[in-house]
Amino acid sequence: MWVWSKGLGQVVMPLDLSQVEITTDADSIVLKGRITAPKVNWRYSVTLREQDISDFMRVLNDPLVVKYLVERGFIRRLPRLLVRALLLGLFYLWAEGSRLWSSNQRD
Amino acid sequence: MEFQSTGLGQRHLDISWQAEVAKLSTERAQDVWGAVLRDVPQWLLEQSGQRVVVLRGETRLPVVWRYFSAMNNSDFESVLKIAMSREAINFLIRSGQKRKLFFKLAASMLGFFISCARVWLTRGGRSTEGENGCKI
Repeated sequence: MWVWSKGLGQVVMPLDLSQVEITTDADSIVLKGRITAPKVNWRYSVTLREQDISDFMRVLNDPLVVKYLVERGFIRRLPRLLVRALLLGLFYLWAEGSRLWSSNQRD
Repeated sequence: MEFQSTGLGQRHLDISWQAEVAKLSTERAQDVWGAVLRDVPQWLLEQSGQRVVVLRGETRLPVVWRYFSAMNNSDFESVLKIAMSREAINFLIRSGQKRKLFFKLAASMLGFFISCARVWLTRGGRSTEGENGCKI
């Protein structure tokens, strides 16, 4: 991913999202990494809140993005992502179910 | 998203991905760099052959600056992996309040997988561009 902003002047920052450290707090997910390019070795952090996650999913579902990804052979990566999503979804439902079950037991 | 970097000093950029405030397009990377840089450095030129998805807009207060973020297919895959990471799931589980977000995410993810499959099938299973943007 590349980020540029007016305040950065003549610098386009390359962010390698596959090499990030992920931490969380109560209401956000924080990604930390390093921007390395000639003359640049900066730390960065990206804080994602609920709204950002929803907005990103909307961008991902945009027909323009779907078409772009399919044209670049993204479909080959889908089965693995789909399996991962299903497993994590099941894990989430199991964890939530356990929580509900134990709170019912207490009541 | 709130973006903070050493290069920004004490400031941070509040970047929105909302369609209402950011313009989405796909462009050749070299056109994207060329629009904001006087001289595109060599290392960036080497990554210019591909098309990228570009989000343009203005950062939100306290610092209002024009910005763009450009992503290629690997970046989308990385973000999806982050969304499906152990940390992200723990984030959803830890607070019982995030059920709505989980179901919203699951529905979006499912919608995305279906859209990809539909577009792929309507194209007859063809990819028109390789990883580096070359027609194959």
